[in-house]
Amino acid sequence: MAVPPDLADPPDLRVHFEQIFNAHFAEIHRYIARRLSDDTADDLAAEVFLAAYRGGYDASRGGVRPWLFGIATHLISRHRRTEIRRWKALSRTAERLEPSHEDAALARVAAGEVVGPLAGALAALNRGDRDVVLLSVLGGLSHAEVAAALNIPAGTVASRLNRARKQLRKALGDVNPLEETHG
Amino acid sequence: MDELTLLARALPDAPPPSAEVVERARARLAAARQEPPRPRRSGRRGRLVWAWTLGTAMATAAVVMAVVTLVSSLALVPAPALVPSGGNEALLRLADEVAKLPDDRGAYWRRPLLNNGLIRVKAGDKAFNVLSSSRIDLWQPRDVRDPVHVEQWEQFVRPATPADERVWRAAGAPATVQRVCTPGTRAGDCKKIRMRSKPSDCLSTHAAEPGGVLGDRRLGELTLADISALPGDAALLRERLRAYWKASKSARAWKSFEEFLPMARVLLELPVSPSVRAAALRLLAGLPTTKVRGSVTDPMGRQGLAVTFVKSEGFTGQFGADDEVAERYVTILHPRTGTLLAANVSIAAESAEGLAQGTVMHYQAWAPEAGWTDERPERPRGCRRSDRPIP
Repeated sequence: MAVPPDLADPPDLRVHFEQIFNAHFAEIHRYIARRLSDDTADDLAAEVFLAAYRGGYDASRGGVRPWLFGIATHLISRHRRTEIRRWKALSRTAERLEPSHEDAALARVAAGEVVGPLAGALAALNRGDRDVVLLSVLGGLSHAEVAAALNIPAGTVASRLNRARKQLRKALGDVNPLEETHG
Repeated sequence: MDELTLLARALPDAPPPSAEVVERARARLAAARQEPPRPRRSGRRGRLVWAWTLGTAMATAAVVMAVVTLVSSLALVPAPALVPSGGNEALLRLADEVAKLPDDRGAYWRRPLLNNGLIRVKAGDKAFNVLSSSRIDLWQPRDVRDPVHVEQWEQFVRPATPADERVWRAAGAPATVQRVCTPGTRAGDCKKIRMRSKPSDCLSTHAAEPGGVLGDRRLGELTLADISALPGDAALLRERLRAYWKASKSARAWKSFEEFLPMARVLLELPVSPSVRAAALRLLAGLPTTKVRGSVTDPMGRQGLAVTFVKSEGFTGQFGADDEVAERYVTILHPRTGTLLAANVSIAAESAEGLAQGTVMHYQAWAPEAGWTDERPERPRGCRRSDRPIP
């Protein structure tokens, strides 16, 4: 991934916007597509960069990347119904699928088996918790970056992640699914 | 492995965005970069996203009627599968006509763009649709030392149809109405909309563009001189575009030259000579991605030729409380000059609350006064001047 220029001064952001777009458009699109759908991401990813171009970047709060993920998360929140529908649908679909015997990678089998319960648990999380989880998991953001993206204290990120983890584990039956597969 | 790592591996991945999607986003961004600064006023919601690629002061009734006309006309456009082979013949015939046009030029090339869209709103507990219109006029001078003049207007926000008007009047014809948003939208992001019967909030900029580079940079930094030097032959034009594609980093975002070629459509939106426009039409007619959808009446009530140059279906847009309404896009060309009548015409591909399938949801139209003129642009009275040059 290209490294965006030093963006200490907000006016510079506009000067370097082409580089910012080139460096981050694909990953922002992917993040939205994984939470909503490819088609929605086609439009929404563009909206993220339009919103970003129009300003509001505060270098004192963190880097450009978490800021862009924050805008994307905010736009995704307007599609909450769609997202919940998506996780519920994935949960139902995954439950119907038999684990593939041809799948050589055990981890993938394990992942396939847990997709249903995990997707169901995601649908049941409250919005704030889900945002924190998916920014970490899909965006690969650190605690500090998630805090900057959502403009919340780092402590809140930690407590939301903790709560969400408990719910995810509960959905998996309080067991480690990988150990079960191997076991 | 903890729950989060497992989750990361379990959730389905998504394919990278297509070159078309990246290009569309880039074009929207380029459009935003051409916007004159917007006055910051609370409650004002501009739909200026497509500023540069957008177009006339028409009576509401005429515009509303036009929308209704387009709906009925487009509904009659045959599905792609029904278009007989050689369906792009219409573009070749148009190119033949365009090639015969005189190369008239004036001191300014004027492009008046309307950006119109339907918005679902509420007055009291009754919902209805309003049509919102903004306009950006651009005068590109032939003399590069002459400044570029841009004028922006908020045109109107009015009930979209007579039925919508009845709902609004029954509610006491309030001056502001509440936008209907998708569930979960923060109150601050779902603002009230002020009804507006006359053009207002004019803002103008008057600034020299270094080197006379045109604002539309989708095909790179072009001047009128560059455009004049383009060949009036489809094969030569194709080679010229190939040279640009090879040299331009942004154009190389397309994996192949063939994937990039539909961008030739941008030439139809630039002040090229009729012979270059004809060559562009011929080039586009030969591309597998180009599909002529037939004769239609555009949202402004004008006869035009509906064409799609890139993927036009499978998109979704937000309308009222529905966050995913299937929509398709079409471009409408002038049936004699091959210039743009309307672009990014979004048509509902399914019905939603307050929206019938086939309804035009939003579009950008060129007003009839588009083209070369010797009339020098004057800042209208009451139009605020902005000191910020056009980026």
